[in-house]
Amino acid sequence: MYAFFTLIAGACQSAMASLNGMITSYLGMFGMSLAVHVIGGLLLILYMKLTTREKLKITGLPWYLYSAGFFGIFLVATSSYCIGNLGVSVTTCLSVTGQLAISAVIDHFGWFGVPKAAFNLKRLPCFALILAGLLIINLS
Amino acid sequence: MAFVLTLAFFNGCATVISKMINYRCTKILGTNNGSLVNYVVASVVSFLLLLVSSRFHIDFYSFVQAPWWMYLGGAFGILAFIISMITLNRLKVMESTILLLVGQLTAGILFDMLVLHNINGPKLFGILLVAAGIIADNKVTASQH
Repeated sequence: MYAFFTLIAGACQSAMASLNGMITSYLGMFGMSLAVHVIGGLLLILYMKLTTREKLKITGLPWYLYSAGFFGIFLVATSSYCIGNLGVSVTTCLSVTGQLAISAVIDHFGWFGVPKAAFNLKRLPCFALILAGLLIINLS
Repeated sequence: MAFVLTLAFFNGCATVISKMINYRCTKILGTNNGSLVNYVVASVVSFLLLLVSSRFHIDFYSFVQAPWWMYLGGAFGILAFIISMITLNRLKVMESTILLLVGQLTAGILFDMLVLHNINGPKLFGILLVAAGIIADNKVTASQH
């Protein structure tokens, strides 16, 4: 049951990305980002008030953690732009590949204070498979 | 084309860094408030960017013109967030990563086929190869712990 809901969560992410891509043609990049974040934020507040009943608090963080919001804008803007040009599935493939690559680099060098974990060479065949898939997509 | 492909790749890199930042926010403020930070800051900054990029003439009519259901993007995002928060502790990280990916790709392929009409056989094959590679990589990294 939890597995099924996690599948649905993945589908929701794609639905969000597709809708954001579509509404960008009406609102532009920043208008879309504004709409998405205001609606998402209000719904999150509603969820907190109705279920967890916790106090709203967003102060008291080190200043650099507020960059979260800038990343949020960059992510919705770039994914809606890429989806407009590549479609949802190809954008997802490339984005997840980027996630794997940067995570491997961060772990290998221990950046941002994460524990160092040397790159496991057994992962190379998997990366080769991903690369082969991306090449075929690019050629098709 | 190369630019868009690279941008999609960097979107993934930024996703990881953003997740690390969000994780630290949630360590300090709790899961929900920590995530709220992202929405509040992003709303304010998006508004300022919209204001400046439109030279202080925001076209409010375009907000009314857009079909209402296109605004559901933010709702789907929150739904995904709440579901993954609830299910994350009940599933292994590898399982939830793979399930999220499969859900994302299945919905993505359906959308591309039905709405954008930009899927063909070879492309679908390539997408499946990428998915297989990602799943295999997940299994390799999970087995080393």
